[in-house]
Amino acid sequence: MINMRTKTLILLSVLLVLLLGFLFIGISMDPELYGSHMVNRLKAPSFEHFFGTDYLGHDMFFRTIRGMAFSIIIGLCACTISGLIAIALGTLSAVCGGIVDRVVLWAVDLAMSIPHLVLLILISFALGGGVKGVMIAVALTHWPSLTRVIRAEVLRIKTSQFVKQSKQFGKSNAWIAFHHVVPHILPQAIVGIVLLFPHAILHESALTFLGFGLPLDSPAIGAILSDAMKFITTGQWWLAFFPGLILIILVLMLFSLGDNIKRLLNPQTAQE
Amino acid sequence: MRLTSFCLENLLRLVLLLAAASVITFALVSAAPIDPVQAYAGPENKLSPEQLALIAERWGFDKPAPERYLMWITSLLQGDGGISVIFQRPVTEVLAERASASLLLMATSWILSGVLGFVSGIVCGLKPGSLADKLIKAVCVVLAAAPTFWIGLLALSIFSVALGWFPMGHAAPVGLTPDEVTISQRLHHLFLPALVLSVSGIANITLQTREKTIEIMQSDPVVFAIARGESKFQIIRRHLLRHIALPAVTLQFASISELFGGSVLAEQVFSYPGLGNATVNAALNVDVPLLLAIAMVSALFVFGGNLAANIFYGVIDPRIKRGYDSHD
Amino acid sequence: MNNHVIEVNKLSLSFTSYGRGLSQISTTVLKELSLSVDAGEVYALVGSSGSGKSLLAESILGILPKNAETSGDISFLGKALGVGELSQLRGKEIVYVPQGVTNLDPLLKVKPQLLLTKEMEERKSEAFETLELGDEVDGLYPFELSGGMARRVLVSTALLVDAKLIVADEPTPGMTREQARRTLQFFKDMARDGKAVLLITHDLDLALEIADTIGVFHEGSLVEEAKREQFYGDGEALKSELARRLWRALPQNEFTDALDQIDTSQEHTSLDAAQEHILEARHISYSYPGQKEPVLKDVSFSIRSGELVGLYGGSGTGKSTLAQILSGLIKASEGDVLFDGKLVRDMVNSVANPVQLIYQHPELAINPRWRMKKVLEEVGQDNKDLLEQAGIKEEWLKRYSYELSGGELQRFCVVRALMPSTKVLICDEISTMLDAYTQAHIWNVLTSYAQAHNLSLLIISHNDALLNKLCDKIIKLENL
Repeated sequence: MINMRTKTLILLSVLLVLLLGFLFIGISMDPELYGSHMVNRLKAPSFEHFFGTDYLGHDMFFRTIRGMAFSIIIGLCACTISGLIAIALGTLSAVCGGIVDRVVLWAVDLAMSIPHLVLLILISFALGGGVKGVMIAVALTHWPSLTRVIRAEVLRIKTSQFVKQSKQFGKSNAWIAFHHVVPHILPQAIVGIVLLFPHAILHESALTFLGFGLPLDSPAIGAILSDAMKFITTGQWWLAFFPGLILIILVLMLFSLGDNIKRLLNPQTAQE
Repeated sequence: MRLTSFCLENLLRLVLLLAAASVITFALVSAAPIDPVQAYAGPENKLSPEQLALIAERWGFDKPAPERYLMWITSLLQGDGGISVIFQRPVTEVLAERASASLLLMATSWILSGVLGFVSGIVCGLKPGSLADKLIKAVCVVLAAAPTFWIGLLALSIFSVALGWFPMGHAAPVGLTPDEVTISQRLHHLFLPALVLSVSGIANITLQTREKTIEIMQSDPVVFAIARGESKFQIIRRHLLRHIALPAVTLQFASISELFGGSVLAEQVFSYPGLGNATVNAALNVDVPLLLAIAMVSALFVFGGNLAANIFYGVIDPRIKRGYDSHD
Repeated sequence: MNNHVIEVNKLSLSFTSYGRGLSQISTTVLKELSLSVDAGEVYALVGSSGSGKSLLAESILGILPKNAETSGDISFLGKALGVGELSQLRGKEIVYVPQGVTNLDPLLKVKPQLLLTKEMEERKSEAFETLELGDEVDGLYPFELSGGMARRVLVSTALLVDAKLIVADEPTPGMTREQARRTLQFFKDMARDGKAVLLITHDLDLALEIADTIGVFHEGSLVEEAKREQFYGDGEALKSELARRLWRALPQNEFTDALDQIDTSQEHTSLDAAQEHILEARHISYSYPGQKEPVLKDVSFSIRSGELVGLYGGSGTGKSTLAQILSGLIKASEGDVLFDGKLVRDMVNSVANPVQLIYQHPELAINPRWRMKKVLEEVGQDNKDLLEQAGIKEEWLKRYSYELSGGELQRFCVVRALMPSTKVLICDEISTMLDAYTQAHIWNVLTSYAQAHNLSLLIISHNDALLNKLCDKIIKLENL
């Protein structure tokens, strides 16, 4: 039985290698590799083409890597932007209370009152579609649930007995924020942000699958799968299977990384 | 008395949210870099500038945005959503037709995911660590991470293409008029999309119910019940079900937003003629009246789900029912 | 021929958990514990809270957590208790009265919650009569019961069946002496009806009031088993040193903790009537947000410098709320609290408040992410003598709060509050859950410090013996 600390460390390093690998290889890849080679049309998976090829002779393995790189960039943007919004709003809401708190909570409810995918489509539509539309839509819409979490956590610490004690000891609010609140919130925020990543990737692929953002033959996971849909009837299952599988593996790893970090950062479960 | 005011308060809050959502939707759609007059006339119109100006005047495209919003929202409230550009029919007509197809699909998978998820969650939670638990849990974790459209594609290639059990998509056999379609044909077409749409719901409900069941079975009231000699059956009926039904039903109502998103994807995969399919077409083909109306309908769905969840909670949870404010 | 109703023979119990790295740690909680209870006998197992004595009750009833491993055997009426037998006996021959009101299902009304079979219906009416519970309680949810009512509802479960053994785990927390005495009388009555009663408690004083036999539990085993009559004088009839120490530590006895003989029995520095009032509560009223009935109504009193004042009241009288109002943490609905003529509320957050507060639950008052060293550093407490007096060990400083027991943590809270700037210290039920010995130790530290530094103590408690022992004057907080 490997303990959780080691397991998380292994998971984290594998994930980092994968993410950086996809990103680096995907961006710097010779376009030849995922380009169209009409001699190799619709080949089943083999050692030559791990994931097979499509009707234009694209190598699906390289196309998938390229697509994942795009997904990862969008995921990173979403983590940073939505994460920052959530931390700012959540903290503001809990610290100020009163009317600010109500406004923030109302904004969260409002953002959640339209189905997420419909909201994504609307924003993407408002921005005239394209890569930019997808990116901004995904980056701007992932803050509401994390905002709630952060607000609840800050509130919990703010009203805890040990913070009350600290006030009694004459500590300033700034001191309390820095010594009591931040060390509690930071791990929560990190976990929340890590867990944003897979959601963002899934939404990005859904948007591109529906045809928003990128031309259909471009290498984005959603576009690849949407493309593959046309060939389901003729039995080219590999066109959809492998790219989707890679996506799921990445998403699963991110989810479990988030969970493990959550438990490690809690001193009570950290020793397991 | 308390329950009524509780419901009214919730209703008021949700109506306000809905109003705000309509403003945001309108603002987003208006912000799109398109010429509304051209978009309204359709891409291949050969209308003269005079005719275009008439359209602009009729729909108020020459007026400032707030005024346009008021025009839109008042006519929408009167049941007039304008004319859909793609279908060349009144938006409300299109909506009614599409919504009924979508409702059938969503309701089926909503119930399916609720029932299956709840039952499998209890099965897992009663015997955590058993083989069945490990298996179901692993499957659910994977399914929760899998995009709906990918599962749809897999289901299509396995059950429709390879095995030939189900049709390739659509709500009914192609070429038949609606009154020629039999109920069994409808169900046959409905089954696979409904199953695919329910998958993520099943996974989420199962995982949540499992956690909750484990927690409840170790809680003080249940341990005390065991000590009082209550049988396993009594414990499940008297304690467990009450405690896990609340969060499960709440989650199930709250998941309507995701269900709608999922239906957009599932309908796309199965070419199912519902609201989701219409959403994508409206957005891709710049059908502004239809897009606006669908966005509002989707918000109504979420609104209904939240309202139902809140009222359900108020009716079931004794603490709210008795108007009890907890304080520490 | 023995006629033990229950006999526990060399019961050991341990928990396995993962330690640092790959190691598995096994923590032994019970070590070859043996005891027996006869029909008509009340046996009290006395030990400090958190020491694992509740696990004996859970072992007897077979409701231990899954990761517990046991050895040894338990027999009921001469027959070994196995899993099969237990499921037949639980709730019929053996009944259990658990510790907390959290054991009542919050979603079930009292009546359906209590009645498991038709036959219980009749017994319930009787039980309610005995326990002075009205019929209206039937339709209430547990959260609508007051603490005392909920406790009596729990006790009533023992009266619903004709059991031979009753196992009661801490049935009186938070009650005043009077309430506790009345509750315990029910158990004594049950024993008089020929039942065997096993009472588990941290409170030696209460145990002595009703038990026939007292077992003193310490670190997993019994260090003493004695009849009630053997507790007298200096404890000369007791075999173990620990039991004698516990006995002597009771407030009505010497109240000493034997570690160091701080003498509290001496005449308190004569309180000059002319000595100034340093803390003054003026017409304090308070009601919880959203509730009309005030929990505190027009409370006024004052404390002189160096005075030890007791505040007596049962649960639900707003004691804790008053404590927070006095230290400036909560704003009273009406009235002011003045320290040296200045509003206490204004001092929070800016200067080290001369009015400090120690809470009942130390684990909540300490940041769980901090090691104890940092907890002391927050207030700059580095008084080595004081740490030593309070019995704080060097190695504890490196630990987190969850690695220390409640008694150990409370010492930190006490030491932390004793800053040079502290002039009034409010102690809100700070020793309620501690065993008599630790309790005496903490009070000795506090009172001797108070005397040396002219510190005033406001001691909030439901334990009148404790207040009588410690305080110069006692204010009774009537249930308003």
